[in-house]
Formats: sequence, C-alpha cells, structure tokens
Amino acid sequence: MNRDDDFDRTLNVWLRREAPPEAPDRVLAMALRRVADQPQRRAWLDRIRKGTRTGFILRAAAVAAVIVVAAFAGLRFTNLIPVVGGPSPTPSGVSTPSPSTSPSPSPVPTGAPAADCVNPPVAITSLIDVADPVACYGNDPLTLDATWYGGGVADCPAAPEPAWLACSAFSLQPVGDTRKVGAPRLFVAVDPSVSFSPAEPFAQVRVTGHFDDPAALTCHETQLGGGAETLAPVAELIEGCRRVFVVAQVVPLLPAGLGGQIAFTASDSVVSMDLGTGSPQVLTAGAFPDWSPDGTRIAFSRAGGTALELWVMNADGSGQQRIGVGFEPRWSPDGSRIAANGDPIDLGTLVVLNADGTAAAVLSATGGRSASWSPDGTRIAFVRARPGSSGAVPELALVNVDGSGLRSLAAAVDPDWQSGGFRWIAASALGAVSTLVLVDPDAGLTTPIIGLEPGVTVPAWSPDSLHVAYVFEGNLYVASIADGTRVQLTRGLSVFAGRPAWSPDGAWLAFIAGEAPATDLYVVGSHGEGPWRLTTGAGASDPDWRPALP
Amino acid sequence: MLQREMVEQARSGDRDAFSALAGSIVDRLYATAMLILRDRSMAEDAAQETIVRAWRDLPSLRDPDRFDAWLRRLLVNACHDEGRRQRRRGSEVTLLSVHAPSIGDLSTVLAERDALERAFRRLSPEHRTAVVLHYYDGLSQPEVADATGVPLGTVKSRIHHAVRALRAALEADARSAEMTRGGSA
Repeated sequence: MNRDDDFDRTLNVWLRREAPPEAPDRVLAMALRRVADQPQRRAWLDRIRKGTRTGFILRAAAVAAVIVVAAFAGLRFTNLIPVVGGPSPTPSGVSTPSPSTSPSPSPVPTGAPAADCVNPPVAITSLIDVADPVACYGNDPLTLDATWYGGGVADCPAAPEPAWLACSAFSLQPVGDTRKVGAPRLFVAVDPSVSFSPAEPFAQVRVTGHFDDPAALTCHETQLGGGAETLAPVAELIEGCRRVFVVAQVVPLLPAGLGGQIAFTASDSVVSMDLGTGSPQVLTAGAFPDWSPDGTRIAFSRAGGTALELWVMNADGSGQQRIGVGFEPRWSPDGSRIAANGDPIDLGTLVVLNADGTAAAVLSATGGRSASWSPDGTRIAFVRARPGSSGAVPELALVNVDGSGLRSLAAAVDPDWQSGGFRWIAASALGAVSTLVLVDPDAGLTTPIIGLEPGVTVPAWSPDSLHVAYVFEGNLYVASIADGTRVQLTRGLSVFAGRPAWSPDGAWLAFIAGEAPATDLYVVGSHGEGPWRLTTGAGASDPDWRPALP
Repeated sequence: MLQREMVEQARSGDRDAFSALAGSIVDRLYATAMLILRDRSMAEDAAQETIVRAWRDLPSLRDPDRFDAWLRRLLVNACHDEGRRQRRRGSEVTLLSVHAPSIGDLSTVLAERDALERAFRRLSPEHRTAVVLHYYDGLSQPEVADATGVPLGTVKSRIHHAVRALRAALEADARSAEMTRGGSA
C-alpha cells in the first residue's frame, strides 16, 4: 500500500468518524411541517415546459433588471430614503412616509408578467414566503415585520461588489416565524447611505419594498438554486440569477395598542408622527411644538430675523400664523392663551399671549422658563431668577394670569402642575443634588415624594395624576405618588433630562435619549414594555403627545 | 416500500410517501451537511432545506433512479447557500465535540483528528464538498462534478488542492510532535 492510499484511508476513516450517525429529530419534524404547507411545483414546471421562448425573454429581462438595479442602486436610495446631511427638507434620521402605494421613483424596470401573478400577496408572512421561488410577487409593495438581530460588515476578500453589499450581514427574523431550527435567516445588505440601523438588538422593524419580479421569475427556472432569502438592494447571486428586493422604507414596528400622534422637534423641524404606522411627517421649520388642548393646533417657535418667534398652525401644518415673540409655548387649559418664555437670555421673561395673536403681556421680567398652567387656567408656575440675586439663580415662582400675585414658591425647577382636581406641583428641588418634591401652590410648602432617591429630575404627572415619571441617572422611571413604588422603564439608553410626554390614556411615555446632537425619540409602555425607538439620529427633542380628540 | 416506489408516489403528490422517503434520507443528508459545513445549526438548516426543496421540486425529477444524485445536488446547493450566509454573517463556528475513537492509539488519533480538523476548516465549503463527496460518499470525480455542477477539471483541482492542504497539515503536525518528543528527551 503506498503513501497516497494510506492518506486516503486516513481521510476516509476520519470523515466517517466525524459524520454524526443520525440527525436530530427536529430536522425531519420541521422539514415535514414546512412540506405540509407547501405545494409541489407543478404549474410552474408546466409553464416552463410549454415553451422556452418565454423563459428566454424572462431571463433577458432579469439580466437587464440586474444591470439597471446595480447602476441605479445609489440613486434609488438617495431618492427614497433621507440621507444624513443631504439636501432633503426631511430632517436626517426621520424617514419620510413610505410611498406604500407607489414606490416611486423607482428605476427598477417593471414589466412583471402580471398575467402570472394571480393574487400576489401584500405581505411576507413567513420565511417560506420569502424563500419560495414559486411565489409571484409582481411589483406590488410588500411589507415584512421582523426582529432586528443586528449584524455588521464582515471582513471578507475583495469582491466585485462593494464590501457593504458583498459582505454585510444584518439579519432579520420575520415576526411570527416559529421555526426552531436555524438562526435568523433573512440577511439584509444595508447601503451605508440608508438610514436603517436600529441600535438595539431585537428591535422590531417593518420593512417595506417590492420584489423586482422579472428576476424572481427567472430564478424559478433555476431549480437547484434555492430560495432568495436576502432582502437587499441587490440580492444574493443564485445560480446566475438575482432576485431583488428593493427596500423603500424601514420603520420601527410599533407595539399593538400604540396609537395617536406625537409632535416633536427633529433638528430644526417640527415633525408629527402617526404612531399607528410609525410614519413621520415634517410639518414645518421650527421647534418646541405644543399641542392645543383640543388637539387641533400646534404652537411652536421659529427663528425670525432678530428673535425667536411664536407661531400657531393646524395639526397638518397648514394655516400657520405668527402670534408674537418667544419660545417654549404652553397652551392654557381652555386653549385661549399661550404662555411662553419671551427671551432666550438667562432665564428670560414670562409672557402670555392670546392664541390668535391679538394681545400679549409680560408677567415676569426676571424669568419665564418652564411655564406650567394651573388646571383652572388662572395661575402659572414658572422658573425665574431669585430676586436680589446676582446672576440667574433659579427658583420656582407663581403668578396669576392677569399679572397679579407674583411670588416665590420654592427653590426648585421643572414644575408640572397636577391636573384633574388635584393641587400639587411636582418639581425638582435644588440642592447639592436635585430631589423630586411636591409643592403646595398656596402655602409654598414642599414635600419630598416618598421613597425617591436624590438626583431625580424633570417630573411629569400621569394623566390620572396618580403617578409621576422622571429621569434618574439617565434612565426613565415611573413612581406611584401614593407610596413611592417605582418601575424602571429604560436601561442604558442615556435618557435626556427633558420632560417625558405621557399618552392621553397613560399607557405610554415618549422620551428623548441618545447623545446630542443625534438624539432620538422613543416610546415605552408605562408598565415597562419596550422601549421602541422611533427615529434614527434625528436630533429629536421636545416630544408632546397629541391630546385625545373630543 | 422500495425507495423507487416512494419516490414515484411522492413525485405524484403523495405526502405520506414523501414523509417515509424523507425519514429514510434525513440522517444521510445531515451527516454530509455536517461534514461540509462543520456547524450543527447550519447543517440542520441545510438538511431541512434540502428536504423541503426535494418535495417542492420532485415533479421535475423525470427518472426516479436518479433520485440519489438529484438529492445530493440539492444538498450541495443548500450547503453552499448556508456557507454563503455564514461567510456574510462572519459569526463563530460551533466547535464540534470529540467523538470517541474506535480504533488506534488514542493520542495519535486525537492528534490526527485535531490536525485534520483545523486544516479541514480552513478549506472553502466548495473544497470541503469535493472532499466529502469523494472520500466520504465514495463518488467518482465525474460524479462529484455532476453533484456540484462544476466542470470535471475544477473538481480535480479542488480535490488535489484540498488533499495537499490536509496532507501538509498532518505532516506538519507529525513534525511538530517529533520535535516535541526530541526536545523533551
């Protein structure tokens, strides 16, 4: 026996020893489960056998599609998805609404053989749908709800395609896929210019796009090619044909039950987001949005020629009207007036304006930050400079809306007046570290909220006035006002110390987190569900939940 | 029931026959996939995918006697799909447990095994496929070409390259062992 034979035998023995004697039971079980839901590929084969001419045409169409897709990939994404720093009026990090009914402008050639597409699906509901080359998707928009598993760009040899395309490996697992075998299987090559990078692993996202079906149909003829399981601008090469999923939009997949609308600032724009769909709408240039109590109008600020101007507009951005000068507007409970800070220097001034801009009055010349209306609309708590102090040492003050009764209340900031017949003002007491206190607006007495540690900031009453949300060491909490028991709602998100916004039903909170200037808007369930990030590097601030419409 | 009968019945849409057929092939599919992919999870996926594709595409199989070769090609494609994903994913490969050797000196076998294992992992999935089909499944080189869908010359080249790399790894390991023994003497 020669040396080669020895080696061959060694190799054979080693391979036999390495080969597992049997497959785990789940392999067969899961395969048969999939088979049970899957028809055999008869109709398609019949079509192929009927004539090769059609196949040739489809193949040619596929090649053309691939070439065009590759050539236009950058243009497509520039057009469909806002690019950071780009000329789009959309603030970076805030995706525009999906062109869900007409994914244009799309350079991808259409011409899918509509006759073959009987009842194309509108949603990809399982991996099998995606992998099944029999499925005929046409060019209709498709959605896929999935869990984001993270990923990255692998170190791989030089490829004819860009590294992000050839070697990036961001993975998704469709929501509802219950297969036990296998890791998340849907891989997405992410164009670096596309704002698509949910930071938290396991974030839920909704991917919208459409298949370029001529290529998909050609894949049908490649019977051994397997499924096209890649959602990508240009998908994996499979036996010489490509199946392309053109990504038009990726938005967070929001939890069931979340709804309503949030206005917030994104960079220098006022944005309104429909939480039913996660779709944002840029309303106008400006900042500090504040919904009117009836939810029909928004007050906001905009940089004017020499000052920050106060404006009011309808909920859809129409009917914009300049009503005066100031920022941080706060509507009165009856919607007739707006309190604001009239001057950005030091602690500013407290001004009150009629919402229609017909009159304005300065109520405090020594400060006007963080105005909070009393529930009956007769008084305003705010932050001003302490009388007699040199410089802007803040304190909590109170004034009647007619300008009378101006007085100090407490050494505290960030007031939030309780509603619904209650009387307390929650605030952050100043000291070596801030403490959350309840302030009696009549007596000026302060009471620490039971059980809360020092260092908490920006309290916000729940709509039922039984709980208070606050920020402590970069995390968001909700505490019961009765006994101080608290629930930590976020961990490690670096929550911005700005006031969180409660949903009208008290079930959700919107807040800002992240490192400036790339802060983002989040929502979290008031019992700890989530959180979900709604923007990506948007420079978000000042969230305000639209009141329930009457 | 003979395999040919199961194939014919499954091809005509008989799911029970296909279940029986799948039960008779799953172990072999998994074993081959494990050797090619060197990863349990990926091998499970490849075997599962092969079975699903086999059901779906069985009507296209004109000659039931070609089932084994046809199935092998499905498996190779599924393994390569998994391999592509793995390369793109760049994730860790699951290390395999050491099977108890049944013959030979334990230390020698383990040393050989480790050396082969390391060298085998360094091969591309395509090279591993050629080695597995040729040395484990016992296919001739033309049969390997048929199963992998590449020209015969490519198969010969892959096997030659792979065997040279594996042999070099074993020899290097043997030299290292010699030096260790010499140094400690």
